[in-house]
Amino acid sequence: MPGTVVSIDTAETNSSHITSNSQILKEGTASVSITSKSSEGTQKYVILGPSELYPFSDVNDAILFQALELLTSCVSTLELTQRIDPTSDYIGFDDAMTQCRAILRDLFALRSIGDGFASLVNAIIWSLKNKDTDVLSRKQVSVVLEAIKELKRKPLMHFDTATGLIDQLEEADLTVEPCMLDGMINLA
Amino acid sequence: MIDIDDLEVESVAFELRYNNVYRLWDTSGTIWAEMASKHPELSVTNIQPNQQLFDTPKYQISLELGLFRVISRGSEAIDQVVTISSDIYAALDHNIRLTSFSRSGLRIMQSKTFESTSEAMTYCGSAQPVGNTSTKGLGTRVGFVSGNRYEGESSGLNATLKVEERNINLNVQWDAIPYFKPLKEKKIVVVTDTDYYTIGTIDRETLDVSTWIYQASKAIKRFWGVL
Repeated sequence: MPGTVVSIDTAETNSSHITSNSQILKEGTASVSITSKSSEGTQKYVILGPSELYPFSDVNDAILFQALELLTSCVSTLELTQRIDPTSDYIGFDDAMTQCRAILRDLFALRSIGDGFASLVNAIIWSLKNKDTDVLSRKQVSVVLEAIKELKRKPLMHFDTATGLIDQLEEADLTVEPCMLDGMINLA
Repeated sequence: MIDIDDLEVESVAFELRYNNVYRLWDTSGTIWAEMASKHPELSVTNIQPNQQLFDTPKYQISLELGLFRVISRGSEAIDQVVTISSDIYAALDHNIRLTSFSRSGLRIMQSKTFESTSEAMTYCGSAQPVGNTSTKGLGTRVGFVSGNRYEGESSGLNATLKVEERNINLNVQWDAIPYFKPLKEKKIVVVTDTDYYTIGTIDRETLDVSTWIYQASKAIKRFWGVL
């Protein structure tokens, strides 16, 4: 949202441009902060995250906002899962994973957002499905959580970006495709 | 206080800026072919290597090395701008892989016609009536213009409210007079001109053009609602 009045005039004005910058990496929706020096003096710029680009999510029913809400729930659930030790509390861990699977199914229904979104959600669903009753390792939970966080930052991600994240899931020993696919390929 | 819903939408413009993409010189034909297949009513207005302009009676699209702009007029302008902008954005995305944008802006002009200047100025809430003589030797007050610029961390807004006298003169050649009538009209209008824009870099993987335009139009409505 616009902030304070910076000038009062009677003529049309244009916004200034970024002329030089230095970057500071930061976690969150506005992930990078850039300080630039223009003719008007030093000003601060950011790489805009979804919350800055779409500040009125409460008055818009676009599927993008449904997805962002579900992704937020998914991140919280996975963070909770990360804190549970399955060797001492298997029920709690399994309960959190069940919640996560349910959210992922709802996210899959919103796959029209983009190819990257659809392929990553699909890959995570199959990663969890293929584990069946096996417990995900701490590393696997972290990789899934990071993938979801990245999807939350970039919901309209390119297919290539999604492929990179899917590769990371595979590197963590997760199977991202239906198991029967391997069988069919072997048959052929 | 101005009720923004009381004013008619004159024009809506959406502009997306990016760093110069020189691949536009190689791919503009493909981009426009893609656009023409979706919008066969498009006609060429001006084609240059650095700028291509297409239009229809309802809207205009300008594609340049560093930006694209869609302008539409009338009550359906916002929906029209959303549709056309989403299509040109998709065509650009297929053909030129843009990774980030430096500015996204939506400008809405709305107006309301009045019988007289003083009536229009009263509507604007102007304290001094038209015809009031300046005590500083500047003559008489004949109009009203007021502007504000707001800037936050991630977005800004430029808003102008003015009373405008528009003279419309349509001259018709003598041999065309049996078919067309010349027009000479004077209109007094209150105009709001609002430009909402982003400050900062936008990642391509975060931007949904149609959602952003609706959000920006909401921001503009909210601004005038609290003025």
